[in-house]
Amino acid sequence: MNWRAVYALLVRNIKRGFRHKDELFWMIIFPIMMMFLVAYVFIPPERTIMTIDLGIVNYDGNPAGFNFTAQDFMNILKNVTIDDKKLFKVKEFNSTEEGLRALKKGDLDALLVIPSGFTVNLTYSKAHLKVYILSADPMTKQVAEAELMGFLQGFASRTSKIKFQIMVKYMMKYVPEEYRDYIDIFIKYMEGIVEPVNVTYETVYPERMYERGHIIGWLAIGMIGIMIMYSGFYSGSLALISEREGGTLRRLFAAPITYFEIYITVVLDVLISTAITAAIVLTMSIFLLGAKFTWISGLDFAVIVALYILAALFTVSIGILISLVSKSVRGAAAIANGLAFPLMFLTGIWIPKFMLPPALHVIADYFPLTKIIDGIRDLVIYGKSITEVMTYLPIPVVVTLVLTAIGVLIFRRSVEKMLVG
Amino acid sequence: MSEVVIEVRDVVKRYGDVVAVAGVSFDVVKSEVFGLLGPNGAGKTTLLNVIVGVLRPDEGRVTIKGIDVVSMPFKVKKLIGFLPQENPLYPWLTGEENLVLYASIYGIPRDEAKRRARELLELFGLEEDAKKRVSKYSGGMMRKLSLATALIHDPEILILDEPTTGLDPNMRREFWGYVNDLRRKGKTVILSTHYMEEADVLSSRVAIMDKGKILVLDTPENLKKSLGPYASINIEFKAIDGEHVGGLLKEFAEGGIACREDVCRVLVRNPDVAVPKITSKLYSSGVKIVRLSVEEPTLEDVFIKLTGRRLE
Repeated sequence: MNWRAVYALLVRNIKRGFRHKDELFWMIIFPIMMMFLVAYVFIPPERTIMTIDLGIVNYDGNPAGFNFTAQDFMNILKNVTIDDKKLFKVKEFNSTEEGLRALKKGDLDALLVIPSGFTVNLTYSKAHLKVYILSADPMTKQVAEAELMGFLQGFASRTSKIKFQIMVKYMMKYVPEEYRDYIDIFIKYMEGIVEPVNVTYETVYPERMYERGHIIGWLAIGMIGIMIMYSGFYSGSLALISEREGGTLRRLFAAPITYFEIYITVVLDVLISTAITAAIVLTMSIFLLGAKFTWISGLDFAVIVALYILAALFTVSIGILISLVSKSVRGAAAIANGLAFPLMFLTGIWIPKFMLPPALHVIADYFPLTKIIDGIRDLVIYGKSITEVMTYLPIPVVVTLVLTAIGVLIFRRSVEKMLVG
Repeated sequence: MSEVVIEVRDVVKRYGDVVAVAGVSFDVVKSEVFGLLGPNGAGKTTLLNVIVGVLRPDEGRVTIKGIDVVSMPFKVKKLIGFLPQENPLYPWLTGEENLVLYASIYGIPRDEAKRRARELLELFGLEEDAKKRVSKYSGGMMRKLSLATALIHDPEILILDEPTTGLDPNMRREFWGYVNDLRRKGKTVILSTHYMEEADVLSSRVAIMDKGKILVLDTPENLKKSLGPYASINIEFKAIDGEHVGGLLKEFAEGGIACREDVCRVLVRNPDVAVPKITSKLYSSGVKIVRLSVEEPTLEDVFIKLTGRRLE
């Protein structure tokens, strides 16, 4: 093996990466951008409360002689906060028609109509409210609906408790002492009618990935996997075609170098360029985005390196297969990109598998690169043992090795064909 | 007797049904500049690719200093410097980096590679542009750098495939100077070209190729002498179908005739007699002559006599 030649060709490729702005973008800027995007948009560091633009039409006004009126209800809506953030931004309207016009124009997320008699009914019988929700985009509709429903259910529950307490207070004044024990049973029964089920919620996190840091760590490994996929597809498909189009192919093969040394250069190029990306992604994820990983042993590290090499071999082999159906650099790049882009979303490497439609799970279940990246994640995120990881790796490893052998043969054949052509 | 450095024996190379090289044999001796002259598609590039070990011959064999190219390609490749038709350069690398890269492929250590690169850049007058990226080089600079890549490992044999195609006449002459220097330094050179002047000026022997075969092989002087007592009349005329004019002049072409578009070349024994007859014939046929000259026979005339076609 002419290692001096392999090293020289690798240096050539790395210089190309750093001297071409577009390659530099894909190698460094793109993964940084994607990591920041997911870390701050999809997994924000704090719980985000969406303030709902709420229109209110109050036909009941503020009747005198009541402890709690429609106006008090409106004031609560105006001032209710979660984590010091207002839940509703209230705008008052004189009529339902006026409010609906604003809602349809998109100036409001929801409209609440308080009918005449609301205060009297709330005090003495059963009050009514009418809520209109704008159905412009499903996400805002869901959030507005959930926030309003939560607030109104809480309000109704609280009101019924207060009304019950007032009722009990008055009732006890007129009940003789000897009947008090029987009355206590009756009161408890009535409390059950007011609040039939008291539910307490508690969130339980998985043993490992329970913090935002672990999720960012999961995504960082996914980003590295995606970069290996792109890099392998591109390098494998373009390696020979770009030499031919650049006029260097014949000159290279007139020198003492073999097709296998060129193939090794392609694989090492993918490993080195993605290692640069990986170093940047991991450093940024840990120190800027707070990613957390499990401390691994030397043997775990060796397995991760082996999986990393397998990932490069697999993607380069796919790239070589792409080169079979492309005749130019432009064509090969288009096919590589056209294949890698959907796989970025469908393989479970970048977008978690549970977010995919069930019909598409089959791609994530059988794509060898997904399993290889899952292996790395299981070691560095979930802290699983090598033995556990090895249970699902044999098939992806065998598939990768078979594809690599096919890739090497095709690479050799392509060299011969291109030199003749 | 001179040492035979390159031995080509009965080489055949086919691309499917097309026979690109059809049983070619010749020897090249040490310190010789051997010219392969022929039109585009004659099989010159294929033959050179077989000689440098890039292509395997379907039949026949090539040996370099007695070593078989097919069975021991690496040994042979180290002896040869190859300049292909295209510039084999990486545009994002500097001139010096390109040379160091090729040196490394030949196994030359980095410091030595840098030293040789500097020497070659100086030789070709590129030392001031050594640190510039090749994408900023002119066509002539790229061609000189490409020749430097062929010389980076100091090979004994140089194979130059159409080295001056696309260069302007001044740059072409500068290139001829470099090839002559290489010959003086004892290098053996095979040079393919479709410029008859280039083959004439540079080569000690010329093989004229057409349709995959060597038609004739000798020194340029002997080839020209082989035409006999002929002179060449070169006639340029206002754009009419060249073949039509060729038909008119056929009766005067004692040694052969070749025409294309707006120019014909006619081989005659006695130009003093032939020129008035030719002008009279063309005038009466309505062909307007732009220029007419009588020249000494060239290698192109040899090609015309052999094939009835012009070289370029």
